[in-house]
Amino acid sequence: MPTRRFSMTTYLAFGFMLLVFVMAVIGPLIVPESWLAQDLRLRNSPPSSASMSLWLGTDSLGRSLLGRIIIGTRTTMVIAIGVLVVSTAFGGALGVFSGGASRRVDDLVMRVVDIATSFPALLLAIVFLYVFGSSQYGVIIVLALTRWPVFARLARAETLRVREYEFVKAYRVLGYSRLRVALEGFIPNVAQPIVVLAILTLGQTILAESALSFLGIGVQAPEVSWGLLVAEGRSYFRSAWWIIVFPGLMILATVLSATYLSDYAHHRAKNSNLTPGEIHV
Amino acid sequence: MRFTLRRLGQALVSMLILFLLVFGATRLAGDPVNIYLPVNASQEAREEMREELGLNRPLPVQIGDFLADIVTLEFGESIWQGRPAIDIVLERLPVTIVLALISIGVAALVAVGIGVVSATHPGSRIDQFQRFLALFGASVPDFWLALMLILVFASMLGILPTSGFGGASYLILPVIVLAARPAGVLSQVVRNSLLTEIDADYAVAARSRGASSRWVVTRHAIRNASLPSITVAGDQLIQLVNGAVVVETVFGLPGIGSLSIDAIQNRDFTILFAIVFVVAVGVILINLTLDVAYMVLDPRVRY
Amino acid sequence: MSDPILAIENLVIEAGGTRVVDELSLSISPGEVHGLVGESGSGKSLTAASIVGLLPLGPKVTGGEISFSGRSLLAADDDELRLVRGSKIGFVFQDPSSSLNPTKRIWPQVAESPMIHKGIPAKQGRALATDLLGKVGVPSPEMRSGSYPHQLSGGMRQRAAIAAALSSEPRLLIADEPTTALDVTVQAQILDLLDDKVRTHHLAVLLITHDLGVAARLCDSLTILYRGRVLESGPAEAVFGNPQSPYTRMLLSAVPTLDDTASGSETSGDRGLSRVPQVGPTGCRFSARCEFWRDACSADEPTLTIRASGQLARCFATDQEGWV
Repeated sequence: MPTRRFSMTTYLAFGFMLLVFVMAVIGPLIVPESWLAQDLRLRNSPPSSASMSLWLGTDSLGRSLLGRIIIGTRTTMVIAIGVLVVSTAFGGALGVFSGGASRRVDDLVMRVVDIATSFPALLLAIVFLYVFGSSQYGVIIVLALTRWPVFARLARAETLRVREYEFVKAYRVLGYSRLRVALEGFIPNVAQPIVVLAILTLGQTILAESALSFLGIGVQAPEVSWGLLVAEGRSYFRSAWWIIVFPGLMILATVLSATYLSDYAHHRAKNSNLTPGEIHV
Repeated sequence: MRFTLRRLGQALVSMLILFLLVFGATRLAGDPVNIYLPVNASQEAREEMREELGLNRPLPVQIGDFLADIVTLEFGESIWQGRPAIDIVLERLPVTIVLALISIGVAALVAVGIGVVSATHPGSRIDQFQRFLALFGASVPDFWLALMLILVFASMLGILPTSGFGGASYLILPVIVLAARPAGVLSQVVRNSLLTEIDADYAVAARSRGASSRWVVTRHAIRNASLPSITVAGDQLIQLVNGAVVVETVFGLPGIGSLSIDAIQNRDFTILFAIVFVVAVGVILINLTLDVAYMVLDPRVRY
Repeated sequence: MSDPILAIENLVIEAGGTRVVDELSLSISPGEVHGLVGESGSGKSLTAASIVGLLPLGPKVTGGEISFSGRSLLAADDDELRLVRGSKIGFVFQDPSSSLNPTKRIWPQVAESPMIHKGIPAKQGRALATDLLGKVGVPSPEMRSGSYPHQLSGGMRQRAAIAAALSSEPRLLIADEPTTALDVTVQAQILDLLDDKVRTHHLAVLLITHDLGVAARLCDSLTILYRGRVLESGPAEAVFGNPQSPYTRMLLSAVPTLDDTASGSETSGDRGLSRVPQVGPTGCRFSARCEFWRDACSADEPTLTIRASGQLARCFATDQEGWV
């Protein structure tokens, strides 16, 4: 029997994600203005314990790196959540629809999904960004365009699996409308793998967004994003290495937590006692 | 043979849909002329471009022209460099191909080595390392890893060049960065598929005939585990293009990844589209190779 | 009967804290076919696996002794067991579509045991495999040798599996439900094949099955297993002719015979009982389904006692002072 206690790493990962979410919400509110003001006397100062704003050093304009990282959290998380919501909703709906539809329709939809998943996502994102323009919303749209097929594929596979369950057929026999069968039958049973994928997507989106921002085609100044911070530090990376290291560590830690949690949720499901056929009355 | 032809046909249809999607994107996001011309172009330049793009013609004709252009590899001239876009792309293609192949090769070697040991010695240090590698490979931002490696090996230790392309030593750091993710993912797949095969009924049957664990792994499990493994390897190879964009940019390698960023910065859509085409062809070729590999490895597929 | 080649004494296998095989004893002599009969969950397959040390993860042998040709198998380590597997003890599995590697041809699997134990080279192995396939009745053996499992029918696959199990001429063959996955018509052929091999090679066979019809056809002696406990065991004529365990009678009544009418099988076996038996940790394990149950059956568990016809049985009701 698997023990119910969580391991140290799980607590750590979960706690960190929580911290990131909290920073995203209240970060811009609690970071003092002074930290973000340009002060050329302080430019490129190394991390010091002199004052909290200097814990992670300053950037080329003398602004507190710690402050900017905290500010950047909101932008990054807004994009990540935005992409998640759009791709889950659109991809999930399409996947469930395809799984419940006729064979011809299903084949057609899956053909499109196959193309979308086989082509390198970043390249496609670059092309679409070119067309739609680089901005916070542009990035959300573009990244959602590259992620929805993954959700569609999962949702469809789950739908096909659950569709054969006895209780689902029972619902149909009882005369439940298709919508009701979907809401009460499918969704509770496909939710778990979708949650696993969603957490993973959160992490992968943060990676993608920071890469785009780093390359200069994602989030644009004066908005702040972790990837953008790393890019800003590139010119000084020999003399002021902290400008690159700390934002990057932030990305790494956040994505590590998300990936770990997603893995954990995945394995927990395999050991759980939830039988897939439970009727939700 | 017929099977391959059918797959080729399907692949072409997929490519067609992809191109139509890009076509749609260019037409939907505002005036297509803006995509090809610099922002401050004059009105007459715009009219000229409009004529050239055939925007005044009926839609079906536009699509037809569009597709015909692709087939004849006519991607237009790069405004930025004043040469046919396709030439520019093909010039920079070899660097990316070399980088990608070396990276996937390194990743595969590492992954198979670690994956096999991990599967045959569950719980060992190598097994734990495998888990860490998979997690790390999937989570580390490649541009940051690249910069870190440059910082340590090139700047501080001075043993490797920071950027440029002049020989094998220039590829060491880029390959390490590029191979990180596929190594992690592949080692996971190799390990898991081996574990599945080792427990399969035919493996137990082999053991009932006196086979040792090593016999079971080398003579039975590896062969069957290679099917899912090469599927993932093919997919990771394609995804390497993503990493190449970043890695080529950071390390200053003249491949099509860095070219795509140059193209965006110079507002050159013709080059971008030519890159998409070349990559699409690459995807098709890789998938076809995979299909052939399946036929070799799995006798059930042949008939 | 010559000295037994396989002797199992009071074997206990535990999984998850419960005994899934509880003090099983049986012995087989060369040339003898011994049937281990029981429903799914009775522990018969685990018993078979434990003989050659191929238990899956979880169940463990916690008591008893298994000896083969006088040597203890339970005390042997994996290296020693490997020498025995295939060469001295052959194993045939239930489903030939999963017990044969689908990506390998037939001959390296049929000749696998000699190739492992005697290191014979590929060419010789292929010739040997072709020869063996012919001997198990596979038509066109040269062609079949080089084929893949999916190209053969179920019956031919099982013949190949039997050829593989016998390739090193073992003294004992363990066959775990060898006919269950096959068509009825093919079942008979496979059983005939096994019968033939027993006779020509003086083979000892442990036949695992849930089907008494199969057992009747081939077995010289039987052990009837229910939920890990031996309920009856002994010579086939005794067990079939004068079954002493109500469970055996129930199994027998389920075997269709020419005399059965359409509803014939309903007149015996489990049915609604007027007094509901209490099933607890003590008492006979078959209580819940036994037509002869009385309170005494739940108070204590009967022991194996020898019966008039020569077999052992575990039942209060049919024993000397019993009520049947």
